[in-house]
Amino acid sequence: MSTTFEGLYIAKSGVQAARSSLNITGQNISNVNTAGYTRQRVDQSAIPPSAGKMLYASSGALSGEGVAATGVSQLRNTFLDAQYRTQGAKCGASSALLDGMDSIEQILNESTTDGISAQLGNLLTQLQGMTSNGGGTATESTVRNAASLLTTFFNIAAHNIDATQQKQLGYLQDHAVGQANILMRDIASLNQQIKSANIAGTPALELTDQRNAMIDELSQYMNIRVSEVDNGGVSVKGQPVTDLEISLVDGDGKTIRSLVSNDRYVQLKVETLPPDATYPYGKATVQINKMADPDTYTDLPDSQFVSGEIHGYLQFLNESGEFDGTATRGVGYYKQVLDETARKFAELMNKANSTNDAQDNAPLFAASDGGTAGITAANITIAPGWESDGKGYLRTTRETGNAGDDNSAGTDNIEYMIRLLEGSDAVTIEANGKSVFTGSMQGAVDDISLKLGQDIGSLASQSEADASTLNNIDAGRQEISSVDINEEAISLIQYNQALAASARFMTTADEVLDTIINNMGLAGR
Amino acid sequence: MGMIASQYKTRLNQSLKALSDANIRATNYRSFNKPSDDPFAAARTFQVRREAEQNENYQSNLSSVQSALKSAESTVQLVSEIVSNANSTRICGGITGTMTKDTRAPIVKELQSMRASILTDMNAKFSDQYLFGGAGSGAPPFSVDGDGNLLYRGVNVDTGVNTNGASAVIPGSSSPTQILFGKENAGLFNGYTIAVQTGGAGSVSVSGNDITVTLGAGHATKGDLEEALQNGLGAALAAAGKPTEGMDFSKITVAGNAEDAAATASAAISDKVSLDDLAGEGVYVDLGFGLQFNADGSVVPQSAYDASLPGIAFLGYGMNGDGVPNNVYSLLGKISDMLDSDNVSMSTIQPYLDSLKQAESNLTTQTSAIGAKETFLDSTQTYLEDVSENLTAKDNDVEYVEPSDAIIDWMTQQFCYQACLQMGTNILQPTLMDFLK
Repeated sequence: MSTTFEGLYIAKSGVQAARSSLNITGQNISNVNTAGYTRQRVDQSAIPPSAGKMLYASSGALSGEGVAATGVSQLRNTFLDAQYRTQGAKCGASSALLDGMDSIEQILNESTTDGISAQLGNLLTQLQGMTSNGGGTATESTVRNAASLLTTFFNIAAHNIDATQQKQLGYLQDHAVGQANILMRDIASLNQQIKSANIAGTPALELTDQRNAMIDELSQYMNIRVSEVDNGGVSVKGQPVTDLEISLVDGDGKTIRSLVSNDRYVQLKVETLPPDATYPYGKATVQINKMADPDTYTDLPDSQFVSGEIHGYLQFLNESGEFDGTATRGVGYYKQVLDETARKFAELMNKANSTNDAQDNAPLFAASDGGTAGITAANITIAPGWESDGKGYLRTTRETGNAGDDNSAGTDNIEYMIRLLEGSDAVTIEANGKSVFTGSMQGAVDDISLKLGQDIGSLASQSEADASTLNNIDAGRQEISSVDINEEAISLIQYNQALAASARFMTTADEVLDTIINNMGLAGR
Repeated sequence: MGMIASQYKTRLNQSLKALSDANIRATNYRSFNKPSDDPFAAARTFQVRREAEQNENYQSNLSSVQSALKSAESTVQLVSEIVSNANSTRICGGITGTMTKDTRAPIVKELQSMRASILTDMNAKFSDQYLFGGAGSGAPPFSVDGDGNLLYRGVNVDTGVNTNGASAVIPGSSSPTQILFGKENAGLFNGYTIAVQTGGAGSVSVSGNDITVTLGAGHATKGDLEEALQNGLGAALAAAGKPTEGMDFSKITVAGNAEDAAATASAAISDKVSLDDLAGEGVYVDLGFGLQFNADGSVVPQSAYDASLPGIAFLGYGMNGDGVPNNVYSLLGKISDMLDSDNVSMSTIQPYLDSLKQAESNLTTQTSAIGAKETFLDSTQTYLEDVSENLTAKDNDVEYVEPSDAIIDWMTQQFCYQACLQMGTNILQPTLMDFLK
């Protein structure tokens, strides 16, 4: 048997459900352009008749007791989210590495501007000029000027590569790690708020959207995995309230460290180690603290970052290709190969100009301290002996002249130097005992920027492919969770009609009651 | 809605980027602006650039050498004319045994002025360098000593004696040690040999004609050798009973850096220089023949162009079996001296006149050799110019794109971009809202 006012209650529930649905639809429509907003939907369920607790079975047609709006949920696909984050990490890694390599390419690019290779060509031209004009001071000094300019170009290139390294290190510290720290902290605080809201029964969907946007951004920097963990806490409406955990994972998906666990989080820091045998130009290390002990930082090996911008920056800063057996030719490779080239150049020229068995008594090029040991691209300069001597320091001939005769108009030693610089088998640049390049001196200089060009070319196409895939995944995500005006418009009509119908029913129920109360049993009045 | 809008934005930006790239290419027509744009084109371009620079260097070397050679040719012709004039019947051709001193006097004068002309001509300079000096530098190659003998770079062209004194060149692994005995000791050390060794205490000893210098361990530099000779040689010679009259030991020097190690071997001391070597001296210029070097560091002659013109090859050098010089200057001098004396006999003067005729034909040979060199250089020049053209064409091929291709590409990109913009109005559609009241 139904109660007297049951119809009114049923109508009321219908109207209320329709109204809250309309409000949610309005919420969706007004957030159509909000970034990261996931469309919401009211979950409705019919209320069953409350006849289950009767002692005796009842008969007759029992109706349910209306509709209940049980909650609001988001339309979001967590699988696509996970895919997006993994891909985002890949994009971040390749774009960070590409940025660093592009900066180096700008320094070494000689397609349209003159650099080391062009200056080497100029030195050769001056040497050739000396053979056909004679050994007078006028032409020896142009050779010296050309050589001096060449050393300047070497110095500038080395200095600029250093500056690039510092710049990328700055980006790692301030941009990648700094941002990641802020995100982890904010996610932890949001976790706390969302959990409290969930316990209180209000789903806090807008905060969840905010948190998802932050997690997406964090995934750019590191390879992370997000999981909802039931820590045996509170259950609301039969569902356990979960904690959000974010962990750093390796290539196989195995957890390495926990980054965020509900409201607790870690912080990262970047340290630079001084140069040593394995890393002749120093090393950048990322350190991590403990959730329980925020003041103690320990090193994280580079291998634990397998993807993300941090990984890209670490590859660029710490890996030196053939020089240390790693896969990426980072800034260390280009520094070392430039140094090797400068050193080899100085060695060849110094030998050609010297007259003693040890082949070092009349060096043309020296390090900035005047000695010939430890010449690098950054410190190569004209040897002090050549600077100060007016004429005749450059040895033009190996023939011993007759007593009292000046035979310096002979050209065989200059030709020898020319051959050293031009000859196609004269120079071998070695890394760890393996040959990186064999060919002429100019070829060695060109090879540096050509290898870089090839690396960048392949990295750029990989990066493009990654970005395109990321875009596709994002399109798929948005297809599901972004607001579709058409659908909301139909919902408006739908719920509007439902509201009108429920209101109509309420009027009908009222009339029914009116008929029963006021118009029934009036016989004989 | 949001998805469609953001996808459209991405596509539009991509199209705009492609348009911008095509724009750059249509303005500078380069196929790449940095190696990463097209690594293979970049590699070929750098290679071609190097080859083109090399070729330019060869061409500039060639033109320097050609100008020097032309200048040398006209000088040699002048000298040749002088010598053939000297051989003409007017002068040497007309010498008979019956001429009086008065008839000989104008000939003597003429011969002497010819000598002076030849000396000036052979010291000609071209662009700051002496044409006929070979590998010599600094002073003019030809000079005359106090006795009127012709010296080529300090060496008497008739006898081969170096007026700068005797020397001994001790062979060494990387560079020989040269001991110079100085002008002041001219002729005094001839016939000795000197041996340098290390070990034990330093000492100098002489036995027979052999001088042995022992340098103590750790004191085996050139400077030490010089010191040992300056201080110890005199005593050693005296001890061996050898004459030391007139020797100035302080003038003995060792060439090169004093800190370098001295070579240990032996060599003869001599003041004679090989005139053949001097006449065959080479100064090599790279004209793109594939420069090669021997193991000892000398240039392989066929792999470069020899631009040296040693003066004594033109004027002649040395003496024949009877003591008659081959050299034009010396001959003219000797002939004019004989004519100037009171008695002239044809039998004594005839060998000199014959040698003068020989020298004239030598000069003619040398002149035609220069002509042959010029022809060779001309054909090399044509070859190098061809190579240069080919390299320019090759560079254009790899480094630049066809202007027509670049412009068509740019117009296509423009069209794509316009189409993308127009699509926008169709994609960003009206929604149902526009149709509801």
